[in-house]
Amino acid sequence: MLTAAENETLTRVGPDTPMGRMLRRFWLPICTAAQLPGPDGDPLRLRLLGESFVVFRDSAGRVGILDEFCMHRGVSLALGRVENCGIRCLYHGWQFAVDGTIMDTPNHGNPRFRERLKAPAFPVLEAGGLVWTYLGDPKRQPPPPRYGFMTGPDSNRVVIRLNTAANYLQLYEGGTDSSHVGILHSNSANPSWMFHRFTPVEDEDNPGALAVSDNVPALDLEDTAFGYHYVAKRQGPPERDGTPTHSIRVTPVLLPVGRIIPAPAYQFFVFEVPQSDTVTSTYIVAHGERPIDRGRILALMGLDDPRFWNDRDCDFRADWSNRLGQDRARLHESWTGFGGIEQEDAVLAVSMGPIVDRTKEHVVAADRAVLHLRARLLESVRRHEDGLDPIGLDVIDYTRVRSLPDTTIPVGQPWQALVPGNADVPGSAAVAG
Amino acid sequence: MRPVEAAPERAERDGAAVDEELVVELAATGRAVLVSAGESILEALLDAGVDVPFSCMEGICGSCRTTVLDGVPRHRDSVLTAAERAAGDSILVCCSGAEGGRIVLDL
Repeated sequence: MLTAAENETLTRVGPDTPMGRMLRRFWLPICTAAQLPGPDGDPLRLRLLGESFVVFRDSAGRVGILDEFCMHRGVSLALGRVENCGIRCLYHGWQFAVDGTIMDTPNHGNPRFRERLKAPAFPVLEAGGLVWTYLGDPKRQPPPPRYGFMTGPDSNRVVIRLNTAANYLQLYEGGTDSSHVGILHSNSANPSWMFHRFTPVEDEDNPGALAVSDNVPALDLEDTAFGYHYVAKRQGPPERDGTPTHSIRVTPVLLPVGRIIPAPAYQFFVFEVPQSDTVTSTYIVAHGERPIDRGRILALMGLDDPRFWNDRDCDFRADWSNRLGQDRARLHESWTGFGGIEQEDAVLAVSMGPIVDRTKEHVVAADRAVLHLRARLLESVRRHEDGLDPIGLDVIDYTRVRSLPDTTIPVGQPWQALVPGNADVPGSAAVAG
Repeated sequence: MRPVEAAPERAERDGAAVDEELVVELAATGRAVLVSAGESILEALLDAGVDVPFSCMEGICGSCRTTVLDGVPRHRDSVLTAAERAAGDSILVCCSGAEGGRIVLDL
């Protein structure tokens, strides 16, 4: 459990909060590139860390991120005209370029005004199918991050954005909780659960596939420059000579909002980015060395069901008017009455309420990696409030950081050797917590 | 309710600049900034890299109101009340000037 004060520190992300200040030191995704399909298209009205922005692609294809509200007298630019290499407010026609340059003020003839002032604009990185920005102090802007999914053909990558009505930490904790995989995601991990026997899933695309049935995995954690990585060790089948084995699964946790979930053929990069204290944009980037089928990934995630999600507004729809969409008539063959991994994860996060009260919980040993997530985030916030860099700030190159799908090794063999890029990622001394 | 003051005529607003050369002293740093005739205090400060909030540049919005520590402002704005003008302890630097070629600002 946490104290009420710790829970507040972890969950509040506005500009005047400790966590909000820490998160503002990092580049964060604000939308997908696909949401801005072409020049002069419809602008997006987006939230990030409790602030409101308008995001648009200008006539030349450049992306602009501005304060949502016109600097003149506060009308939303999300209603504006995107034309002639800028966005124009409907009210008095003020027009702004992607970098905030004031291009036109039809009701104010003083050119010195336009030359002297700029609309609040934020830096843009379009990479890996995502649009990233940085909201912090311009003088401390770090280099943009590099991930493996930012290079190579687009066909090897699937990008999904999912807006869920829950605090980011509820979703993030689910991603560092190996023991729920074999239970909540029973239909993905063990489709024969209803017959009380285990059938491993032979599916190279499926991040819910488990090689063995053992819902009490032993967890081992190790701090790294990017945060930490942990291994879930499940009992594996003995080798021919009787040597006992573990089936291991390694998940790196990339502070402050990322993680990598393994599937045999692909790495699933997941970022839980707060829109506000109570709404989270989850970005899922599935990436591998071969072409990947978007429809197949959406089906595995349970996002092929338009009642829950669509690609246009990216909002995850679930409310209690119909029990969050649960189909209880299917409970004999569906463990949850829901379908697909992300649908199940998102529904459970919503079911906890906007911000769960962690003073009332009863955590167990299987929750170790969740507790460590909180501890590392709190440590990072404390470091930052003390004037030090937050954990992970100086890690720029994530291209060698890997998750490891279920792999059988003899008991006692070091697991770290199978993910060598995780421990020696270039970065700071933040390892020593 | 105080009477609404008439906005300055257009010609006067366009001349939102000091009539004669003026030295602005900045109390925080001790710097002195020269304002040439025909230039505004605001523009001279901005050119000197002094960060002053502003918006309309014509004396109507009040964004650039600055505390006067010494000297006598020659007010040309339409924001300050008669009492505030008489007090002489603040100035809208976008359009007003100073008597005697010198003014000290709380900047």
